[in-house]
Amino acid sequence: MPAAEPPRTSALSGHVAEGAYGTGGGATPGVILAERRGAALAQINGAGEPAGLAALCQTLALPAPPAPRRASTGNGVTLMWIGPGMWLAEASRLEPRALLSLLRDALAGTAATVTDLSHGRTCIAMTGHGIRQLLAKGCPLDAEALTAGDCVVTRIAQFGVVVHLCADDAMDVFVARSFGLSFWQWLGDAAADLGYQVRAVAAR
Amino acid sequence: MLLIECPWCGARPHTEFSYGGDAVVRRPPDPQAVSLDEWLDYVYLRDNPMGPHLEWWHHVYGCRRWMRMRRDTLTHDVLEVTPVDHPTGQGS
Amino acid sequence: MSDQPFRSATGGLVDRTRPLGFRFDGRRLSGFAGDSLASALLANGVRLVGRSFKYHRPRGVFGLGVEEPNALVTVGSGARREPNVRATQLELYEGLVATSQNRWPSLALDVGAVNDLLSPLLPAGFYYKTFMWPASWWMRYERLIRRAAGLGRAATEADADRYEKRYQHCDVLVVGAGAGGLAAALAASRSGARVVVVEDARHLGGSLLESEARIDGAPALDWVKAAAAELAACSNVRVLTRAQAFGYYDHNLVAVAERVADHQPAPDPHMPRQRLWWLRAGNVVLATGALERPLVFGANDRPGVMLASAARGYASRYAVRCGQRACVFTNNDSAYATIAALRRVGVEVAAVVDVRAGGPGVAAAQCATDAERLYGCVATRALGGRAVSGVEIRHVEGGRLAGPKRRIDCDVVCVSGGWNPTVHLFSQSGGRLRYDETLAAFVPGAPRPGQHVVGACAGTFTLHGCLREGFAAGVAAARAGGFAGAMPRLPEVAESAAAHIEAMWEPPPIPRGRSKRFIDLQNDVTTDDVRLAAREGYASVEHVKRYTTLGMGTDQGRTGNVNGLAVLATALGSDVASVGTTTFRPPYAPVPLGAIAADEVGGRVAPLRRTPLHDWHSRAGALWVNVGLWQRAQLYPRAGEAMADAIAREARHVRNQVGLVDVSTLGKIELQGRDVAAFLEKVYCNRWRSLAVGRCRYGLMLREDGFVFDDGTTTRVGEHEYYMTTTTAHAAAVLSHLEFYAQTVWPALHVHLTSVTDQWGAMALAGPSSRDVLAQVVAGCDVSAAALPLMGFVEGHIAGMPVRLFRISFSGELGYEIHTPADFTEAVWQVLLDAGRPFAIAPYGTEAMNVLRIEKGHVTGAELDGRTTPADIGLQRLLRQEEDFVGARSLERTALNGAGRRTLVGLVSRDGARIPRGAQLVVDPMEPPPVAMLGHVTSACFSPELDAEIALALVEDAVRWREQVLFAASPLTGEHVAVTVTDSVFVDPEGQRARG
Repeated sequence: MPAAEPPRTSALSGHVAEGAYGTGGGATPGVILAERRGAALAQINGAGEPAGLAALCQTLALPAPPAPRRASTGNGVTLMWIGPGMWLAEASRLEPRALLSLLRDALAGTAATVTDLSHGRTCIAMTGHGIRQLLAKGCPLDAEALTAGDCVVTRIAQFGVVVHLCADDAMDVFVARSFGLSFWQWLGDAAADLGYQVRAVAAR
Repeated sequence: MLLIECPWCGARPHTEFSYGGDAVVRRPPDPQAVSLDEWLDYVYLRDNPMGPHLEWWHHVYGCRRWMRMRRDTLTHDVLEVTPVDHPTGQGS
Repeated sequence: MSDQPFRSATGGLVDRTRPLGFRFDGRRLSGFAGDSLASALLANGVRLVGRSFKYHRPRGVFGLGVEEPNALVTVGSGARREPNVRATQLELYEGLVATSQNRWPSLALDVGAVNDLLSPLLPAGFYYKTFMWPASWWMRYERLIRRAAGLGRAATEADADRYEKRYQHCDVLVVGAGAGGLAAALAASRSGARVVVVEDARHLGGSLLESEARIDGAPALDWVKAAAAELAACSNVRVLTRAQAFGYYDHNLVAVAERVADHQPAPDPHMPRQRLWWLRAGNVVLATGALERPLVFGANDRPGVMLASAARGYASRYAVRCGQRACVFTNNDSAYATIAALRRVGVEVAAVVDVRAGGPGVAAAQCATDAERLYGCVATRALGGRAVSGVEIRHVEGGRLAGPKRRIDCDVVCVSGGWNPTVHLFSQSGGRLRYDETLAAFVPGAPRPGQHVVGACAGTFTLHGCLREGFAAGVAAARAGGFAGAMPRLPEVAESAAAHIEAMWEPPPIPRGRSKRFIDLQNDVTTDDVRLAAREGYASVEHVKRYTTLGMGTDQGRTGNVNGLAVLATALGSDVASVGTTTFRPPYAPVPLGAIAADEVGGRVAPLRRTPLHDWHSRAGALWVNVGLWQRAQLYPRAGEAMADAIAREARHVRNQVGLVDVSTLGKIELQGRDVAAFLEKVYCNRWRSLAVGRCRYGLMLREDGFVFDDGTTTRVGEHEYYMTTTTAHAAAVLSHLEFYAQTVWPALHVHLTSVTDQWGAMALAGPSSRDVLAQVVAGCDVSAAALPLMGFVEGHIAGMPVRLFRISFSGELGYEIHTPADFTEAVWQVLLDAGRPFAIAPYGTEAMNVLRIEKGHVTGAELDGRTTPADIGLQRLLRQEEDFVGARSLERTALNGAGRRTLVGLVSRDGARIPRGAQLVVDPMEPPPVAMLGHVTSACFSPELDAEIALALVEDAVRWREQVLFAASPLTGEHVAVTVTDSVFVDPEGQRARG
């Protein structure tokens, strides 16, 4: 068993050019776009019963059970609600198999199951005052009504996405990896009138 | 664009859903226990009412749950959306 | 101001410090910032702006805004050429270039005007009646008719502009920012509700912009400015101007086209030209106002005849004189306000002709003190050619013309036949209309849930009433959304009662009168056309619309509809209420297709799906093929190599050495839970409980009607963990199908489904040397024939990267599917290519893959077309007997069994000719029709292995035709190829190679 995970090639590798774009050359950008790479990601199914919720609470040291349509973070793992009894778990400092074992061990004996999706999603981190406006160009949901910690599964333009509003001006969007580059290009087009910057590494 | 109250995700536009057809008919629990005609009615025959109708909708761009929806086919009013029975470990 | 002779030195909302140059039909003209193209043309004395649709009659500006039927121009050139732009709504900008339409060679001298002389030959339904025979000539007629008719030409180049979409939610949406709309917005915004106000014009205020009224003792415009300032300062309010609400859809969804850059000479490349807003509102307040309708009389289309409200608007908003000497013709009080407005800019008002014998109310009468007042009179005919020079007036007594003809010299006739509430959006939302006899207009009936209708749109024409209704609706809408709104204080408005309108749909007939009386100016529909339609038996208003074209085109009957309905009602001996209106459908006004498509144009019509190996294929010079949204490597041609040669080379290479193909597009579903095996036995038709950990199995999935839905392999990865692959095409549908059964039919089974299509990249390593290549690079597992037999599965590592190895073969050769997390896929692919170099490994694309599977008789979507049963494709042996699975019971249907079913066979071309895909199989291609068709070709290719053209086909009574000769006939391409019917497996029928 190899000690460390080999380097990963994301869907955007070779396609991200740092710089300032759009109106005003992005000098005062409405949004800053960056790919968040290398995180561990897993889907939890069937953890909506008391046993599953309790196991998640305990393992992640959460003060309260994770709530529907919200995200909660504990012990370096963010749980994003994606459906009844279903979460997308993300850990930026764990390797995929470590996250998988952590969750599987925690949920052993419950009805829940865990699936590795670390390579299955492209995650774009967006920050800036224009993120809601950008979201509203493709997403039919009420972008202004989202508050920090909200998590919704929806679509942006023709892409199925998970949107996590991390803070009032910061948003992570997860899209299927095969759509990653198309989504990235759509974002660039949509953000042109807001002015945007592209960074190689996400701030968070 | 209809607004559908998903029991899990809240009000969502119908562009997040796919339509799954008539939800009045139920698959016979034991297909061998019914006559072939009754079986073929289940497979093929559907009512096409004007007014309230029970339909399947699938929240494909959301929680991926199937749900029953009572919709008025004349006015497009969504009268009721009900989740299906809780499968194992689903909870809320 | 010599270059704008019809502009007053003061007044209006134009900026005289910013002159703007523009061109109309090549003429250099100038206007001011704040002008519309129409107001600028009128300021320059340009009266003739277009030719009519059918008779090519001269036409001038008729309206002020969206209601304009005549002044349609073409703006811009090249890719930015846009026809049918209403000059009344086009804001002037420096360098604007506009041209008139529907004239040749020029606007003043138009050859098509001969149609007007021929008009007795061109009645309603002319084209239907004349160009029916011979039917085969219609194609020729159509081209000529389309060239002669029509309003402008669209650009043929791709649209050069950007458009975008925006979704916006609010508690209260107010459509229209006149008195009622502004009042509603103020009341709602003060409650804290999220409010969006949509106004088509560039300024808020609606008809208050040209109103003489005083609110709280100050000019109405002051109240508008204060309201606009208050709304602008509210963070909970968004005001969209230059925004046309054009569609009202289910559940309070309103579509709005915002003209972001239409008024700018050079669009900002980063800004959209138009923005399409999808507004979802808790409550909608419709304050869409009303449009004035004309009075109908002879030659009422002459340039210079215009709506009284338009003449008033040009005077008040733009300080423009529509002429020098005016005559006002009305049946209601509203037109009297025009007299004062015209006087203020220096237009002499010669006479006011009022249909009503008693004349107007007191306040209106005061406006007309200096003009000749002709009460109980009608205009019967406009005089003049390319511009109006006067009107003929007659008294009306007892419904007949009486007394002598009077001529009044004038160069502008301001007409008002009353007001039509703009009920289009209300009607689109499903609201029913009601005809109000007092107003002589259709007004909204009961509002839909979450909807409020106020002001002129609701048939309320007093300013006080508009404000009161607006405030009340704003409060009610906010309260409905849970906001505590208080009714604002109603401002003081001094208004005296108006006299009632007197409906007058057209003057009494003139003996031997030959002037056309136009109802629909844009479509050249006259009162005679409507009467003719009624005589010919068209009683339904929808039929009359289509027969006469009344209310069609870009105009949709905004000014003419009710007059037309009334004339029809009279002709039918009915009344307007019974005749009813035609259905109002979106869009209310034309919207550029670009705005509707928004960003989904060109390469962005659908997003592209890329495999993890996309960039590698690109660098390797692969040709692409689109498969659904996916883009796949089709083949890797070498320099100078023909496509067919490359495909054959790649296929041959797999049979003889070793090849590598990207199969990442396969659908992949992870199934976990205690009951997965039981579930698989429900959704697949074959057996699953016996599958051991570390083994794969081919699975065949049926629909409930017994036909094959999809196939793939499923592997038992762990005790309660299975890994399913589906076809590329059906990946999404299979997941939804499985979710349906897991959630709704067998919810008690413990099964969790997760799509992992994107998590795993996948490649097939195939060929006699594949094991040798794999053995060199794989670690942590044994890939020897004994340890990893056919349909076996192991997990291991390649260069430290985790891989799942499946010994399955689509090509028929010794082969492996290697699945690896997507971010590692390219690296693993490269490792395999490097390790395979001594074995002459080569990548192959989807074409070679297809050749290999046809040679093996493996079915794909071409055979699994939704009409084949397991038995049809030779897989009956898989079926579990006497057990329930999806589709099991339907297989008992007689039609799915026995004689007459087409089953899978192979075909070999007898003379080396290509077998056409989709061809029908017949005994004798020369037989005269009807020819018995025995089957059809599903897949075909050149087989390098057999050095022959081969195909798979579905054929009736396959046993009988085995080794017989049939013909694959394709009448479409004129081919018929002699073929021998064979077994469907062409290569290695015993399957020794894959087992090797």
